[in-house]
Amino acid sequence: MLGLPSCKQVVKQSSDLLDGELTAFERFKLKIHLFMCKHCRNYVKQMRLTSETVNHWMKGRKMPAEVRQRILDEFENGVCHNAKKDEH
Amino acid sequence: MTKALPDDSELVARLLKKDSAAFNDVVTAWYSPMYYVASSIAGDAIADEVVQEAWFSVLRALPKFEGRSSLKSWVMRIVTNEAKTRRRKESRSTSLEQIEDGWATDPRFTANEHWNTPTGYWSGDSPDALMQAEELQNCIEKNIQKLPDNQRSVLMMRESGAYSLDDICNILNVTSSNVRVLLHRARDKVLQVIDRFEREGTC
Repeated sequence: MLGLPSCKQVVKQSSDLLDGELTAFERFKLKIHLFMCKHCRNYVKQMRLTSETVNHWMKGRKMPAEVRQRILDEFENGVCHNAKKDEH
Repeated sequence: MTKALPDDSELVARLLKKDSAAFNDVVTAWYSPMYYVASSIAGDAIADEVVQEAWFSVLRALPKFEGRSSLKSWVMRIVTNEAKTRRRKESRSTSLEQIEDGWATDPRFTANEHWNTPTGYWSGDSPDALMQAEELQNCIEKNIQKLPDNQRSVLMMRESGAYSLDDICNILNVTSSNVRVLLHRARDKVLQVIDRFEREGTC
């Protein structure tokens, strides 16, 4: 045998597959396993979707208005504020 | 969706010229990854403060920005450093290097490492489709909060799309293999949360 990974090892390597962190040989062996195993194919697909979903979820957070205001104020008046601070 | 930002040199030039509209766009576009990275390192309570302080530092340092990394990575590094400083001040002491091990006894697998209970089939095949269920959004949020800090930091940095794995190693001072393990654990956990929701409709 080529020493193909077990299902558990495929799961363990799935993140590295997603991030392009596997060697060519590891990737090759993993692909052969996936070709033969629909459970692992499903898992790897879900791992990719999970990663995209977390990204999507993160983008849903909106900035509180007062935080935005303070940052914009600093952008517009920052130099004056700093000068004032220096005087104390 | 947020609008596309101009490239870095254009953007930096506009910010230095005090173009408020351009600044507002950047602050908006990068808010959520900045917030979540800050929150994973320094805690929710002060995450917005950390973001704010980070922008103040960015504004002070911007004239010296050399473009050795992308502006986005540079800004993120500043947030991370700010968050780490605050973490020390607030004396939270969990080590980022810490890894707990529940891997050997994963009930999803048989003793010879085949699937015992494989993942189910999900109702949607895009984030949009999955997230139509509002309970799932809340459920993901709740479970991401429950992740160990180190897993959460790595997950938020990576999934924000702003960091390479090398960036994450450098910023968090964690070895490359640990970053990969932490990221995998975090993703696998969120995957299982979605899977349970899709099967049972509960969080």
